Amino acid sequence: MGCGIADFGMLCALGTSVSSCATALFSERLPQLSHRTVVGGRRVPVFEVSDIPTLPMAFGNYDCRNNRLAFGCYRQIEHTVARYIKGIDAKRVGVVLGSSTSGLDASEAAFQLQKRTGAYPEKYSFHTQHAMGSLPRFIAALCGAKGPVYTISTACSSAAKAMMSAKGLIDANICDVVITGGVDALCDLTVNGFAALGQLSDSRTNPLSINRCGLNIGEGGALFVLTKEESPIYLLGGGESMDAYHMSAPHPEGVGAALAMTRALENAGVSPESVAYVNLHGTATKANDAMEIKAVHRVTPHAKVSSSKPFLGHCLGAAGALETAVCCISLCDNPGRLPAHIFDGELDPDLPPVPLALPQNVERPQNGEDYCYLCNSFAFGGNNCTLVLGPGKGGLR
Amino acid sequence: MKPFSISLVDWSGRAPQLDSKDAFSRWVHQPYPIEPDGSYKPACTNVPARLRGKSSTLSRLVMAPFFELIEAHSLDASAIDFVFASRFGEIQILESLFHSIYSNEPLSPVDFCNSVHHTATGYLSIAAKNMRISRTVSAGPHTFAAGLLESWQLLANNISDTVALLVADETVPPFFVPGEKERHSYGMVLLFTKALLAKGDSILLPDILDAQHNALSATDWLRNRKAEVENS
Repeated sequence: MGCGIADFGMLCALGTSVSSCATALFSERLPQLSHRTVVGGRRVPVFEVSDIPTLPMAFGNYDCRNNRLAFGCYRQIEHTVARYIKGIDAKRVGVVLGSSTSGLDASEAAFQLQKRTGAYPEKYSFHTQHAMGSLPRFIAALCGAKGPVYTISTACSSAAKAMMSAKGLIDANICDVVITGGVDALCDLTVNGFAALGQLSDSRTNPLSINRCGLNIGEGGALFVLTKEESPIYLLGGGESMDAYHMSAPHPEGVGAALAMTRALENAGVSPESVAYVNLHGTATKANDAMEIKAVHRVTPHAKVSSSKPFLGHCLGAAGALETAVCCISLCDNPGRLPAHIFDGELDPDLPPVPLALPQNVERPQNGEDYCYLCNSFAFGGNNCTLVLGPGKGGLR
Repeated sequence: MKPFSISLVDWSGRAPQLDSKDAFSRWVHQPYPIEPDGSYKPACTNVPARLRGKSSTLSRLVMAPFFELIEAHSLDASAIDFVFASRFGEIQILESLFHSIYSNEPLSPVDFCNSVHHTATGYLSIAAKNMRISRTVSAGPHTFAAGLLESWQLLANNISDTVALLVADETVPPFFVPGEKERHSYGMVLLFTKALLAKGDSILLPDILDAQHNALSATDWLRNRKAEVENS
């Protein structure tokens, strides 16, 4: 059985609200790239959020870039959260969020200062800023949740898995409402790490192109109010798998990816034919593109596909949340525009044929038809997750 | 309807000076202070040497007890779902990468890959040829309880038949937590299945929610359970 998505908020380089992101998405307006310098002096493009709110004074001990991004998302849903948790035992309200960085940036800054001067930043607190469990604890403190509060951290599949975990808490009747999603902040470690792996592009990411040259790291987040109640959008189910192949390279035939997609369809009780659209993990690395399109070609050959990375960057632990938010925007759109696949138009001829959601070709089935979307997330350690999303009645907001 | 319960099949662990199931079990029930030992790495003889060589210490801390339990109970290592509960993840590797960035040295690609929080399940999945589900949870002092809850819901929702709850942490480098007492590294594996019959080892949801409420560690929880079973 699916769980309802009562509301969601998002913050990323594309926009600071659902409506601003939707406008940019459907007008195919790509955000400006910023740059970061990695070890050795190379400057690489990144998707940086420029307008991040500060935290209320009372939550100063949580202050770090990641929690500020989370706060920016939370402010968009706080009224819905208040409405849904009113009258519910706070122990039945959970917070399950995905992140790969948590507030790593706070420790990076502290490390640099401590090495240079021997002193720590005045307000540095590992446990409330950087520790992996601190992000949902901050959101729980904001909303008063007293139920399960934890982070799922599986690198780039973190947020998608957090949403599966949140759904599991509702399905098992442990919670009535769960705030879920994911947040990740730009930091030196991730940018330098992907540079060391040779996976960063020097220009805008170009997924599925013969000219692709890697990914751009991004930052941001999306938070969702997951509930048993009737809702405008549903998380119908999901599937998870492991590649059991390599720590940093996906299985070249997409075996684990296809398994996650197949399990997702089984778990949601939907047929491959009902999948109208697949939001690709779509990182624009040769290994990911090749294996993912093989998997899509095998499991959902008729679904239109696009990667949202040219709009969002690769937001790592938050990718699954932001790309689910993109799916939700499309599911709520009337007349039903799909997120377009933006690239240079030179499709890699070695990829199996799949229908791209190109800007001229972006409408999903109309209301009344039975359809759903898939959202793929794949991570280091061969850790895969596919979510299934579908429309409900009415619209958001 | 009868309340759903899960069963603890068996458990094992490793820590410095506790390099066997028996030694670890004795220590859990009669604990004494253990000195942190940064050089300690379990042997992991069931894991191919090449994979073992690349694995992080935290990975080895869960792989050793996992394969020990698999062998003891003649289980199929590829048919078990994983929940990895770790408060700090690969915090030692993270600090070494901070040093590299500070020194303006390129990062080691292997170290960067090994720095993600769920590294241990990546290596374990390869060693166990396991393509099933793996989730990694972290919740400060509630981390073990979150892992227990996650294991519970995978079984209660009929997603899993058997779950290995892997619980591990390394000594946190003093930089991150100045002034705090150093804690030794440890790795534990608790094997859970659905409880088909009401038995002494059945675990009901209130037990788990109680563990969360009281922020119990895995060792405290096991110690309390033993006392409960003895008193029942």
